[in-house]
Amino acid sequence: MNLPDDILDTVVSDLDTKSLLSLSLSCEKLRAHAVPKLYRSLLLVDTRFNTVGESEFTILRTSKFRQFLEALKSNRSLIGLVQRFLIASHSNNVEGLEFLVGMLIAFKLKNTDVPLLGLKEFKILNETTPYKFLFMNKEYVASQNLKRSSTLLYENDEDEFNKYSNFGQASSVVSLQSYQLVNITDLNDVSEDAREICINTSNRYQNAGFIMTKKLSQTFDSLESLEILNPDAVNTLFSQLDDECVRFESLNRLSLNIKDLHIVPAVARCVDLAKLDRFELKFKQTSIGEESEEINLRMVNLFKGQLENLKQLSLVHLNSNNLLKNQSQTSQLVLSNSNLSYCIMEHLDIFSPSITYLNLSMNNFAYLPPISMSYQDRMTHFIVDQNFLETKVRQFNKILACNRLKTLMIPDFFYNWKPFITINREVKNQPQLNAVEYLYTGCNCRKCVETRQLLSRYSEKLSFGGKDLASTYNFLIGLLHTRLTKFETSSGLDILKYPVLDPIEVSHYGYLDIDISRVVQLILDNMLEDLSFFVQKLPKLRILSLGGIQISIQHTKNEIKMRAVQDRWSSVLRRST
Amino acid sequence: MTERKIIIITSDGDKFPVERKVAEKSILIKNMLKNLLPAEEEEEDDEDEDEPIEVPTQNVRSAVMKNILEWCDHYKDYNFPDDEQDDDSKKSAPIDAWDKNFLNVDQEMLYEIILAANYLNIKPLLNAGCKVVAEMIRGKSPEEIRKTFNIVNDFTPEEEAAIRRENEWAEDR
Repeated sequence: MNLPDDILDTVVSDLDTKSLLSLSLSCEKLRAHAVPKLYRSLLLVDTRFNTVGESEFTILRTSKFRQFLEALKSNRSLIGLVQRFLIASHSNNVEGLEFLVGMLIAFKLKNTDVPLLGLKEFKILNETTPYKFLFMNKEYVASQNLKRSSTLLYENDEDEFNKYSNFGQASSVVSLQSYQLVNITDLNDVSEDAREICINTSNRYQNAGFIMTKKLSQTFDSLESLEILNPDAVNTLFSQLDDECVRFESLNRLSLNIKDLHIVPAVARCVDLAKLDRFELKFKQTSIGEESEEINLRMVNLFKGQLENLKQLSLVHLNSNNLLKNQSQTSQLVLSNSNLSYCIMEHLDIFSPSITYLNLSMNNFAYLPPISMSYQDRMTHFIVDQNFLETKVRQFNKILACNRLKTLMIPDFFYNWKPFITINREVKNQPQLNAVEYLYTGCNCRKCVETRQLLSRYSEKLSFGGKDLASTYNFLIGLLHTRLTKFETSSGLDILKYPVLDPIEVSHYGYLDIDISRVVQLILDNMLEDLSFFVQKLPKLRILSLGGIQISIQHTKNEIKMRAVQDRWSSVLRRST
Repeated sequence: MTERKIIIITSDGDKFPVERKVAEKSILIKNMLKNLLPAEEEEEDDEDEDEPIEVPTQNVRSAVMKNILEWCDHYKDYNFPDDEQDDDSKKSAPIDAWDKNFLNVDQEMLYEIILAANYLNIKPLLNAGCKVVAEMIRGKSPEEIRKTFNIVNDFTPEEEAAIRRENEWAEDR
């Protein structure tokens, strides 16, 4: 092909793995372009995972990991091509992983004069205890230094000692662009070239502080992304950063899990909020007291007008109990600014009206109790009143007011919104308060009729107490919700970043095989009005994810095509004029 | 105020008079004009007002320039979004139907259009061209790729076997 190298690289960047493999076998010249792309960004996934769409990652299945290592061993030039190695597999004890880490680090050590060469990022996704890559990294570097020093042992002991201790301090780990830390003290090992830091300390005692050095202040100065998964770590880190008057001058992505809102002013002092284009706030409010109102509103005011360049927003309430309980309702404060979820929803517009990406989960507990408006049912039902329902409608309209959204994800849609609202050219109260009824009213095609019979059969066999369809539905939306990654261990800003999905198409429940995709088809066929309302209200919307169902939206001249990427479902809307 | 004429001269000496906004689809030409026409409004009484501006493009021959200008003319009233924006959606976006049809030319011409778009700095056209080439590769076997692009297989059977073994991990199931 008579095209210059940089253009061939652009061509190759557009290709999927299969085509790259073909290209690598066509001729030497094209192979030289295909192979670097093939090895650049790798994503290790479990063999059963589904892949969706195309992405920058090459998928490496755990079942093929041994062959991957064989390839690296037989062709020594390949290891230097690996820039990002991400692990989405649920098992991080893949045999040979340590060997790979050793090879990756050895390559970096051989090329310390060119720190940009080779590995830039090594990350475990969705794990509560992150793999101790940095620890291994340190051990490995130390052992290499030891080897080097022992060869020189008899030359000049004093010099040798200095050299070793200097070396150990200056570069105890190889330099990367992206770090995943399990300890705040690990910050002192991070190189000044670091662009991304993710801190996941699983134990409180790992939160001891760091030592502010010139190197670290350089690192913070040029850091672009900071993610902290644990509330205690947020407190420890930002109190110290604030004391040291640290400013992150280049930060554009920030994801924090906050338990104590008193830390927010410190965050606002350290971070230039106007520079953020991706922001995630995860929080947990276990009890609602009157005094919370002031704290909540103070946070809202801190953010107000500050996040002017924000493009992507994720707001997640990480409650560990079900919010739809009467205990959580009895207090007058629930529908007030003392409730952080309520407060954030009421003030959604402060997070910049120009966001194009929104992940919004105000209830992390995927369960829907029966609902009633009659107080007599309080022992068995979740009691709501007119005010509650009107609040739901008002707050849902706040989501729809973000009219530049291209991506909208509402993980709690089926139990926190759908049962309380009806969408019929506008959002209204749900008058029936029957969460299942909509499945029986929209579509009467043969497939829907059959799936309804299937649902009844599930209900009989699932022994949730007779033919209780609501319980079965509950169980099913719970299953759907597990398709999403856990927000405790991953960021709502990254949901679409990785092209793999945990397939829960058919779930084996006892002796019953439940075909989730068929249930999804029934759900979607019976909420076409909701969907068409979404696409009309949000004309730029391209991805809509509701409770684990991901729908892609494509606009053509006269039609709008919707497709559930995991569920063999699609529908076409005529464009209204 | 009448706009000064712009004439693009190709490597083989052909002259193409064009509207300014058509020519400015090329960032290279746009920058050239910026230097040639400083604050044009103020110098209205300048005597060479009617003199057309000639823009030589050494690397593009007439037959290719004709195509390039057709593309520029088609998009003259369209503002392409900035590069930094939408990097996620742009990558996966399919080729625009009009572009696809426009680039449905023989391979030699396709390459020449890509090279010219690269030289003239017309990013959207360059990207469309690269996508068309990628499309020609997609889903094909190594043998089909060689046939499509007229490539000679320069691997020995042993080398080919070694590459196949090396590739095994990436083959999905």
